[in-house]
Amino acid sequence: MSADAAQPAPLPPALHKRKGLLERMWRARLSYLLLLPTFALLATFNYYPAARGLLYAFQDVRPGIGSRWVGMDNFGRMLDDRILLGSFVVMAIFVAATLAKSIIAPMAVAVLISRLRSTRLQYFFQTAFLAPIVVPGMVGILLWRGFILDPNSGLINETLALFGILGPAWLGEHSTALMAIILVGFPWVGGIGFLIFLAGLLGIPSSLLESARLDGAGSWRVFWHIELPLIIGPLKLVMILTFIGSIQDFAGILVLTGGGPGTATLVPALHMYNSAFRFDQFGYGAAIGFVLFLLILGLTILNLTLLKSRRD
Amino acid sequence: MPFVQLFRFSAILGLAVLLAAPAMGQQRRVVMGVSDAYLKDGLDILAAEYMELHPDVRVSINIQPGLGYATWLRAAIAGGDQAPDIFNANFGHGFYEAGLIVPLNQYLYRDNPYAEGRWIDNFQFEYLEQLKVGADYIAIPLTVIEIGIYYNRDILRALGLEPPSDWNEFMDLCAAVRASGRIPVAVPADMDNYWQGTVGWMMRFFSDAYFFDRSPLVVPRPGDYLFDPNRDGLFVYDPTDIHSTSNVNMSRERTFQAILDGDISFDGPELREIWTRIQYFSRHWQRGFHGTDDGGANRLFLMQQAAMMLQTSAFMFFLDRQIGEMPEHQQFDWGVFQIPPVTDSDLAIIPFRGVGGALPIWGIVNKNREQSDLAADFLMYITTPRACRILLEKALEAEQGILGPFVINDVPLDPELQARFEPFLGLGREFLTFRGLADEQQSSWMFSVLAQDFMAGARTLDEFLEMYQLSMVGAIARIMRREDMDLDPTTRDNNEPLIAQVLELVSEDWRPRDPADFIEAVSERLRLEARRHEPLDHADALLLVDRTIPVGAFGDRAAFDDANNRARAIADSLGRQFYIAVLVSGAEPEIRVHRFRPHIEEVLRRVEGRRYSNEELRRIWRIRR
Repeated sequence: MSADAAQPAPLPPALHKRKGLLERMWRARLSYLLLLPTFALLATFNYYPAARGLLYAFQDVRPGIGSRWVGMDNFGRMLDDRILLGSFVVMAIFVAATLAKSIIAPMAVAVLISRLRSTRLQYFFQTAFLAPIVVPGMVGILLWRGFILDPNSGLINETLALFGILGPAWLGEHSTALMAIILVGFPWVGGIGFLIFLAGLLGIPSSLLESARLDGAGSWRVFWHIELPLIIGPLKLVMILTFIGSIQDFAGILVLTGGGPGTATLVPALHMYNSAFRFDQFGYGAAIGFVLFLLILGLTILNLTLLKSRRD
Repeated sequence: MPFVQLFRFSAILGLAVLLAAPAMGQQRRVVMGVSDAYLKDGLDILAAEYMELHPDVRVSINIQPGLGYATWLRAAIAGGDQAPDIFNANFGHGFYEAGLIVPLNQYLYRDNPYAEGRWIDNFQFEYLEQLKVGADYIAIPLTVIEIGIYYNRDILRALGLEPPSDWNEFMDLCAAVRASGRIPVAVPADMDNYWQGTVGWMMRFFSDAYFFDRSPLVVPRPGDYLFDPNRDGLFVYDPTDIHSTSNVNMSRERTFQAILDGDISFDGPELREIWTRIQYFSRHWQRGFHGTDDGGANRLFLMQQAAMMLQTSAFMFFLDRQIGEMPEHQQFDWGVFQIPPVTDSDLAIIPFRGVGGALPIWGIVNKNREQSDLAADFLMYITTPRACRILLEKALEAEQGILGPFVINDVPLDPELQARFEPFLGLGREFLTFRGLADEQQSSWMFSVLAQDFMAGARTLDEFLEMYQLSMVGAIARIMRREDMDLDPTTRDNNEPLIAQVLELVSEDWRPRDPADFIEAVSERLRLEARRHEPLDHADALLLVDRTIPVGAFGDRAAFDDANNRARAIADSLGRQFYIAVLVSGAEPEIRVHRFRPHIEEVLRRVEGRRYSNEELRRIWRIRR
């Protein structure tokens, strides 16, 4: 017993660990200090407005006058809002189409380019497909709206007219408006997704591909069993970014149709914008935003888990 | 040690900022946040002149795009300090009721230090009068704008056609153009154009003509807070005089009541006929008109694919510029005719009137007295005849054009230009028009959605009008809730301006400790706000103090109760118009000014959560009355 008492009592492991962490932090104090402004700016410009928006979701906000706590009322109203519920259907179609747009064509073109023997040709096509990135996105959208999709003087309908075909009214008809919005940017290759896929494909060691070919694997089998599994990481990244982006982004729809004709192309994010900034119902807008946030968070986690488990 | 240096650097930087701050604080600032890009050159010159005259003032001319201006303005005002001082008041629907706009009476009756006589004498009376709400001038006008039908004279001449004299002739004219293989009328009909463009205009001039006989229902009567004996008192309903409603007020309470009573309905024969006509008319528009924006429609007219289009008086300058740049063989001659009236229906009471009016109109955002004074002074400077001649000259010099003739006295136009504006003038001005309710944004959006659905064949006329009726009643409920208003036309209900004004006092470090001071100051504010009422006697105070106040702040308990009871009695005797609640917690007093709303509570309780029907609302009203 006396021998035990003579020794200093050992620290509980948790405390020991914490002490070590604090010590390490103190040693790296300059780094922490230098990181501080970044965190302060993030907190001010990113987290604070977001948190404020979260709070608005539970309030009746009157710009310039004040706000009142209303609990879950804004969320309850969403259930009665048939236009909002309908907009989720439009969103689902839009998100699915955008996902397909941002994966299929860019990946196909990236695979084709990566298989070119001539590096010079590879560079040429790579540049050719990426060059349109320098056109600002909004300019692209306005060009599509004014000069490509215009029912009377647009490029598509003028071209169809040459063959004696009467083209549809594109953005001007309930049945074609959403399709026309999805069509914007055709052939949908020039995005950042294409670059990510190409980088992934070019990073695959050529020895792997060659040995597969020696074993008699055709192009399709090489893609399916070698290339695709090896670029699953980039694919996941593109999918998640596209998914988040297509739920959040309403700027294109706002400019192209404003959600119309009627509510044929209205998505929840645009309804949120209308509610908050057109109808002065910031609380209701914030509640829609909050639901979209939860939706994005939930589906992103689901997305990550599913893709991970498939690979494992 | 590196981060000792970092601290030193930050300290020096901080000190520099602190020293600079008071110097920067000396500068007063006026921000003119408007969408009138064509006036930019002239406004910049006038701003520079003004700053030279007042070295302590900094004027910023902040030009915003017209599309999205309403959104920008609301966001800026929600952001507090970000709000402009001077803004386009035509985008400020509901601002007056919410106390966000400064009534300009106090400035208009003063001498304009930069011109001869009073400021009000600078303006052409009838256009300034259009900007009155009750007794308050809420903005000042600069020019007028109106719409008409532009037509390609060459095309009509080649077909041997003349401008029409009534609506049926117009439809025949369209049919003749259509038969020649051209598009009769280019109509931009995307979502925006149902609200602030061509289709919205149609709905406005049609509903004005068809609801004209309802105007006696909505003109204020003796006893109404809006009633002006010199304007409303002289109103006589006369369908042969298209100017008879030009200078009268419109009571929102009476308008809403007429809608709830079914005297004005949106599923009745009027709108049925209007939309049947518009739908018939649309067969003469270009294909896929819902997918055509302003640019697309303009192109059809410029490329001579379309023979006509509805456009504003300002469009002529755009047309001049565009045609001037065309090769000679593509150029064409154009003219303008007024929108021809419907003459074969008993429902159309009068010919179509103008839907434009004074524009731009500039108002002042209510921040505080000092800032309003400064903004008004700058407005006086830029609305003198001399200043407006500069604005005109610079706009024409930059080939930007103007919207229409100036309504500032002594700013003559070149006779040729004046003549070109003639077809747009003398049309009278819309009174009862509905595309949405009073520009309440949710109802105007709902209108656009429903009307587009109907025009595209996705909804029947019955469905469209039934839902439109419901959305308009919903809009009444929303406006009433937002502005805490009831439907009694004799009381001005908005309590927001009072809160805004009183909070302003608090923010100016005003600390009410002495009840007499408090009553004096608040009464002064009430008098300012409610100048249509008999002056409020501050000694009577209409003070109904909330019982949660620490009594110590107002003397002893007995004095507090006494004041409370007296105020309640007075408020009762006056029909319970106001009461004031003061909450004091610590050093920050919070003051609330309320009005009694005996009826609205019941209505709002029922419409809360949007579970109401038209019939139910009408029933509530019947109980009330």
